[in-house]
Amino acid sequence: MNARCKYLRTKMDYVARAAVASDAPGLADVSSQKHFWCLRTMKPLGPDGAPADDASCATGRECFVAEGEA
Amino acid sequence: MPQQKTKRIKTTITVNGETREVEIEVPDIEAAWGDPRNMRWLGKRIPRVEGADKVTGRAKYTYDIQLPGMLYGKILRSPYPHARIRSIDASRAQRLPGVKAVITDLTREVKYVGEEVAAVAAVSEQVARDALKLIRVEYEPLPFVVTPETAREPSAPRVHGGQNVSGGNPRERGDVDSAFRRSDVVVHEATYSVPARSHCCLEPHGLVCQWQGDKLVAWASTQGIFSVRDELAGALGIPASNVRVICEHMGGGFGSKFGARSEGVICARLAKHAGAPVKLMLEREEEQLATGYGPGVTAKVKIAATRDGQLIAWESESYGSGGVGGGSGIPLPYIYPVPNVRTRHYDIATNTGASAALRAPGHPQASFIMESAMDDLAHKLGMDPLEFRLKNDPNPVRQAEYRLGAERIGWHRRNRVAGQAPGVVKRGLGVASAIWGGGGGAGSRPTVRIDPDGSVEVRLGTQDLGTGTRTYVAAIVAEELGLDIRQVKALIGDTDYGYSGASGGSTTTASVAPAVKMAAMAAKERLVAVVSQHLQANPADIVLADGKLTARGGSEKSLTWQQACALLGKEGIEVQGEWNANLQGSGVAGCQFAEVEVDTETGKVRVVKIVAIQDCGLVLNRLAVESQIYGGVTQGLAMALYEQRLFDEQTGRMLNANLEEYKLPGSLDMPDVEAIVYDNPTGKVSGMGEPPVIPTAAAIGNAVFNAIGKRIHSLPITPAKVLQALGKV
Repeated sequence: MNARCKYLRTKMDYVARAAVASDAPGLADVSSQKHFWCLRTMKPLGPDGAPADDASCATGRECFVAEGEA
Repeated sequence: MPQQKTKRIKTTITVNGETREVEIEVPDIEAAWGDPRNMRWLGKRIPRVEGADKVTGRAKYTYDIQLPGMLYGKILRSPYPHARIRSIDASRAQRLPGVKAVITDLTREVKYVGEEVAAVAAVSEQVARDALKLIRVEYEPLPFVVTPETAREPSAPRVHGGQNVSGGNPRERGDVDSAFRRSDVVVHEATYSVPARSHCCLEPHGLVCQWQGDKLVAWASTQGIFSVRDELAGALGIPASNVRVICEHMGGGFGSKFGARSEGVICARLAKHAGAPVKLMLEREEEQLATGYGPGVTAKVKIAATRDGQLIAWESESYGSGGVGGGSGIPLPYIYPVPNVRTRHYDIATNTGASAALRAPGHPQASFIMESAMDDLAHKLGMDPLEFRLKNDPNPVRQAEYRLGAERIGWHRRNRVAGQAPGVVKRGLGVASAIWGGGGGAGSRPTVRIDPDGSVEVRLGTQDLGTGTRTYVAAIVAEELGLDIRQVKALIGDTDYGYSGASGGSTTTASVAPAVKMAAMAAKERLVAVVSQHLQANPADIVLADGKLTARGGSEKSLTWQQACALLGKEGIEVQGEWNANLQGSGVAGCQFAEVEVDTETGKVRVVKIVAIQDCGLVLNRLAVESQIYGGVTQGLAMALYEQRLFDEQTGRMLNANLEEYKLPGSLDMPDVEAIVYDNPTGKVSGMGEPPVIPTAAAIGNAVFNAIGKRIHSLPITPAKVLQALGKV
């Protein structure tokens, strides 16, 4: 699994969750239902103007900083 | 030391942004809510504890905060949907009398109309507006696209440089092609669509920021005071302990108010530069342009069932747009299990503001698409749509709710053949369903304090979005201590209180209530220990009720609440509580029935009645649950008949960025809404703020179909679409 950028956020980072079982039988792409933002811009765009999301914010992007790094 | 009893529970965890279900070991502390029939407060219809403050204006929302020497912040926003900023000259604005701070370093390229370009703080809103007009920005306009349909064209301008269309990974189970080819199935194909919808929070986004040395106090209209605290601290480069965030009352968020957001950081920076407190509340146009919306989705659907009505196959290709962001996915197929499934979903980038979570993200859209297809297929099968659902929905709670709802709406009155209602104004009935998690999680740290004078406080850094959190926090403590709810002061909405998570995903009640219950139980245990000694009784025999503590089964001696608390000594009792998994549950169910009238000459649809049924496990405040149902139905009705964000492809501007041309229902548009709280005897608390919004639009759409025999495939169901479907225009 790729490291996550320390500046990437969704609301799920802030709400308390456990045992959120669902009997939804769908095959939804859960990731695509998330709304991301970048803490450096407070928008769904990174400082480079490209989208901020779990697919785009990856190692190799200039603005990427892994969680736990300074 | 005895080993603490533990148990294993299933939970979801998020690691590196990926969520998965795991089993974890948690302390198995004996705790139960008890029999609701024996409760004085919980499960009853409790008026809001802050109700009088709200109706008299004493309640202070962020918008109401006034501080000595306070300035007003305003943001200059891009008039272009895509442009490079060559230069910004704010010198004239800075020289305008009354202007105290100017910021111009927000961005060098804008990607939607309404994106932040510069900001000012001034002594009045008018001076701040005048100052914005004096800022000279030289833009280099760039190609743009604002509608998903145009953005999909190969020649469309590229929003982010790459392809505008992303995603499309197939998700598949079973043997879809074989299932559709079976000779004993009926197949239906159609395209359904739902437009993007705005949140329309009555209180706009915004903050008041006041620096006190190197510490910041921020009043924020937010769904997460701690997330605002942490994000402001990070953006400003100060410790989180130097930031205090307050949100005593707030006027709606619906998923759009997590984190500090752009205006939060701008407000704090303006206050720092000006050396004075700044209020920065957005205006309605800014709300429409730059604070998010629920993505629109179009889905091409193929669905099949056996001739006796068993769903067997589903295929869908859907497109959604979250503007410059993503997040347009929807859970298809929805609710009803289908063994053979193939789906593809694509996100389309456009030069419009970014979407945001909107009350049950993706679910109302999925509901309209799935439930419309279900009804259309039932029509082809010659089946009653309700019977079709009863056959394909295994959830026992919804099975009971369907039967109850059918009775309450008078399902037998539906048109046996869609469109065969007599007269010009035709009546029809429709049904649709809801599903949600509603479980909570650990983290909340409430404190219950009992003072020797008998006063009781409960403090927790959660927030009340208008959903009634403050009331059930007080009610839980009152119930446990045998007090009147007015004897308990519930203090929430301040990061100076104990930590609690943000309010989203309908997780708040199932996260907060168990922790408050545990704190109240601990406080009661301490008090009972003191009182039992005084009364020379067994602690287990002490009963707290009606403001008294009585030793049952023996002397029957009792103390009043005040007498009991006077035994505590100066320090009183102060205890914290932690979340207990035994007290919460997840997996709530609901369904709604709609009755409509369709005028076949004008095309106007009038919703006559909605029967809305929802379970949430153990009910804490029946009145608040009913309120949530009313709110959900109202938003669902708006989605069905009114809401759509309209853009001009030539200028890239939103044409109805207000609450005049952006249509919402008024009180005269509302039907008779029968809100039914389904008492599901789980003995556990679950959240239900989101699910009541899910099925309303689909139920209305199905009722329109039942009335006129024509399917309106796209929302909103406007008179023009109805007349077109009837072949009258």
